[in-house]
Amino acid sequence: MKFFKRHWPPHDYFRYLYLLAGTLIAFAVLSFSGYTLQIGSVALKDSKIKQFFYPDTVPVAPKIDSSQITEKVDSSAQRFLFIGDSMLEFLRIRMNEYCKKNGHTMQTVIWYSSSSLWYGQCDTLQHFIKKYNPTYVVLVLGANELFIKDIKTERAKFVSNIVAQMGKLPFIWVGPPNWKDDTGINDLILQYAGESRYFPSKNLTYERTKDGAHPKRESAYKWMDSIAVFMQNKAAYKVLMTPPDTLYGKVPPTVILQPNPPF
Amino acid sequence: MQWSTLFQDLLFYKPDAPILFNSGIFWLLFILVLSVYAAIYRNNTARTVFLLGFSLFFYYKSSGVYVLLLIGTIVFVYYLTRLMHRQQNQRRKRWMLIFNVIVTLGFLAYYKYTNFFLDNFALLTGNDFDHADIFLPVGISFYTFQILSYVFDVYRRDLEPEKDFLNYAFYITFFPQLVAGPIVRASLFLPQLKNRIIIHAAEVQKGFFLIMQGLFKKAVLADYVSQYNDLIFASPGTYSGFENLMAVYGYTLQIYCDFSGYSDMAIGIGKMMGFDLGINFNKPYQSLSITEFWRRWHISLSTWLRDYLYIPLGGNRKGKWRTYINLFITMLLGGLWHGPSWKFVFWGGMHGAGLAIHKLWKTYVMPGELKSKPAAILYKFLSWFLTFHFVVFLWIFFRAQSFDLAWEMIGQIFGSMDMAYLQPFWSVRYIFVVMLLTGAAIHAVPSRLFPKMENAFVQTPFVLKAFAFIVLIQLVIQFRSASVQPFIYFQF
Repeated sequence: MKFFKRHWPPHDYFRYLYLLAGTLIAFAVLSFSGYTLQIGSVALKDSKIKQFFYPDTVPVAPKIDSSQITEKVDSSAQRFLFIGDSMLEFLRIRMNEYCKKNGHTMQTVIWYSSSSLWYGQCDTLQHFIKKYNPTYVVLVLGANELFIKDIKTERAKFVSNIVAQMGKLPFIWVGPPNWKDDTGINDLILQYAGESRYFPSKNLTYERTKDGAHPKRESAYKWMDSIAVFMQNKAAYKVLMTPPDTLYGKVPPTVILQPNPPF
Repeated sequence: MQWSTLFQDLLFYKPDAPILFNSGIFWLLFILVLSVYAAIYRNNTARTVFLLGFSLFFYYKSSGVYVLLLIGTIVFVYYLTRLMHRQQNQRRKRWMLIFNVIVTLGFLAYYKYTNFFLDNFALLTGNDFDHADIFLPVGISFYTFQILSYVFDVYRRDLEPEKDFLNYAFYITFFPQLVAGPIVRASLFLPQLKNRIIIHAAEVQKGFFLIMQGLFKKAVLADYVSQYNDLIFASPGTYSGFENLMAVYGYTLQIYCDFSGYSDMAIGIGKMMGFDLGINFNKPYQSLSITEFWRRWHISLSTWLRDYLYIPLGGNRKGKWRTYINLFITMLLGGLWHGPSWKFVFWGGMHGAGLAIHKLWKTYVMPGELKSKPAAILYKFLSWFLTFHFVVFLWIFFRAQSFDLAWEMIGQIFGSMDMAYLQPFWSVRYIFVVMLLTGAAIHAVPSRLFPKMENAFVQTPFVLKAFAFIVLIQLVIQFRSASVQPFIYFQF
C-alpha cells in the first residue's frame, strides 16, 4: 500500500479526471435521452454524442421521373435556369454562347459562397424556378463543401431537399471541380441526382486562377464544353447543345445573391 | 451501432478527422491517457514508452503513414547528431551538421515547398508544370524546427546529446506540442525527463485553467467569428467597407484566439501531466512597438528565429545597416515558414521592415523617454495604435486567398467606408460584436494580473470550477459550426 500511496498523483489530479469523465458521461446521457434542456427561451443544443454512435442513416435517393428521361435529343428551344455558386462566373459566359447558337434562353443566378447547406435549407431554388419558369435547370454546386467532415450524414438531407425542389423538371447537377479529394460531396450528389443527372467535374483537369480553386476563363470554357457534351449525349434528358462557332465573351444578365447564409 | 466502424473511426487514420483538442474523441482519449498515466508516471521508462506510443498514435491519426517519416527523421537525426558530437575534426563536424540540416530541411522543403518552387520556376522560364500531388504531413514545420534546435544546440555544445533514445524521441513527439507547437527547446524539456516528475496540485489546477481558457478562446471565440470572416474574405468586393473592416478585426481576434488557444491547451495538458512547455503568447496586441510584438507573439518561433537565424547572420554585431538587413532576412524567412506563398513572404518581409524601421526610430528619432507625463501617455497610445493597426493591416495579406483579394479588401475599406452600416451591422451581427468585445476584454487584462487570476481559480471551490467547466462545454456546443474547425496553424 505504501508503494501506491507514494506514487499516485495528488488528489486534485483525480478530481479533474473525474470531472472530465463525469461531464462527458453527463452530456452523453443527455444526448442519448433526447431531452432538450431549456433556459428561458434558449434551447440548449445537443452534444451529438448519440449521433457519433448512431449516425443518421442516409435516406434513399428518389427514382428519376419518367418525364425527365429522353432517349433522343430534344431539339426544341429550352429555357435554362443556370444557378449555383461562384463557379458560374466563367461558365455562364460560355453557356450563353451555347444558348445563342441553339436558340435557347437562360437566366443566371449566382449565390456566392453557397453550398448544399444553404440551398437545402431555404426555398431560393424553388423561388427562381417559379419566377423564371425554366424547362431545364443546370445547378453548379458543391465547391464550397469539399472538405466537410461527416458530410454524408450532415448534408444528405440538404442534397435530398435540393433534388426534391426540382420536382419534375429536367435538371443536371454539375459537381465541383475538385482541387483535392473531397470528403463525399460528389458521392452524395451522385447518390441523389443519379448518374444521368450528375456531371462529375472532378474528373477533368483545370488551369486554376490564383485562388487555386476556380478554373481560369479558358479552362472554364472547356469545362462548359464537356458539360454540353454530357447534356446532349449522356444526360437523362438530352437537349441540343451544338458547340458555338464564335466566342462572344459576353456576360449574360445575372442575378447576384449576397453571400449570406439563410440562417 | 456498428462497432467495427466505430473502432475504425477511433483507431485508424481518417484524412478528414485528425484528433483535435476541441473534439470529443480527444476528450475521451485524454481521460484514458490521464488514467493510465496516474498509475505509471513515476516510473520513467514506463511513462516515456506510454506517452511516446500515444504521441505516435496521435500523429498517425492526423497524418497516417507519414508517421513513418517522423520516426525516420527522429532516428536519423538522433544517430547523426551523436556522431557529430563525437567528431573532433571541426571540418567534418561542420559537414555533418550541414548534412543533418539538409536532410531534415529537405523533407520540409519537399513536402511543403515543391509546388511553390515549381510554380515560380514555371513563371521564370515560361514553362508549364502540373502541380505535384504532395500530401503535407501535419506539423512538419513545427517538429522540423524543434529537431533543428536540438541539432544546433548540440553542435554549439550548448547541450549534450541525449543518450536515451526514448527520451529524445519523446521530446520531439510529445503529443500536446507535436502538431502546432510551442516549439519546445531541448534544454527546457530534456532535463525534466531526467528528474522524477512531480505533479503538484496547484500545477494541475493551473493546467486545467489553461485548458479551459484555451477551449474558450478557440472553440467559442475563434470558431464563431471565423464563420463571418470566411464569408467576407471569400469575396470582399461584394461587401461594404465597414463589413470588410469588421472582418479584418474579426480575423485579428480569430488568429490570436485560435493559435494562442491551442498553445494554452497544449501547455495546460503538459502542466496537468507535470511538464513545463514554456509560454508561447503574452498579450501580443498590447505591444507598443513591432519589436515588442514579436517578443509576445508566437514566442517559441520568434526566439527560434532569433537564436538560429538572426544571431548566426550576425545579429546586431556587424553594424547598424547589417542589423536592419538581418532583421529583414530573418522575418522574410519566418514568413515563408508559415506557408509556400509569396503573400506569406510579403507578410514576413513587411514585419521585418517594421522591425528595422522601429530600430531606426529608436536610434535616431526617439532614443530616450519623454519627460512630460501627458506627452508620454499620448506617445504610448499612439505607439500602441500604430503597432496594432500595422499588425492588423498585415493580417489581411496573411489571410486573403491572394494578393488581388487582399488589395480588393483594402480598396473596399478605404474606398467604400460608410459608418451608417454600424447600426444595421449591430442588429444583424450582434453576437459577432459581443464576441469581438469579449476577446478584446480578455486580451486587455494586464499580464501581471494573469498569475492572480490563475491563483483565484485555484482558490475557487471545486464545485464552482466544475460548474464553470460544464457551462463552458455547453457554450462550445451552443456556438459550434457544422463541423469541428481545425486549428489555423495545423496547415503550417
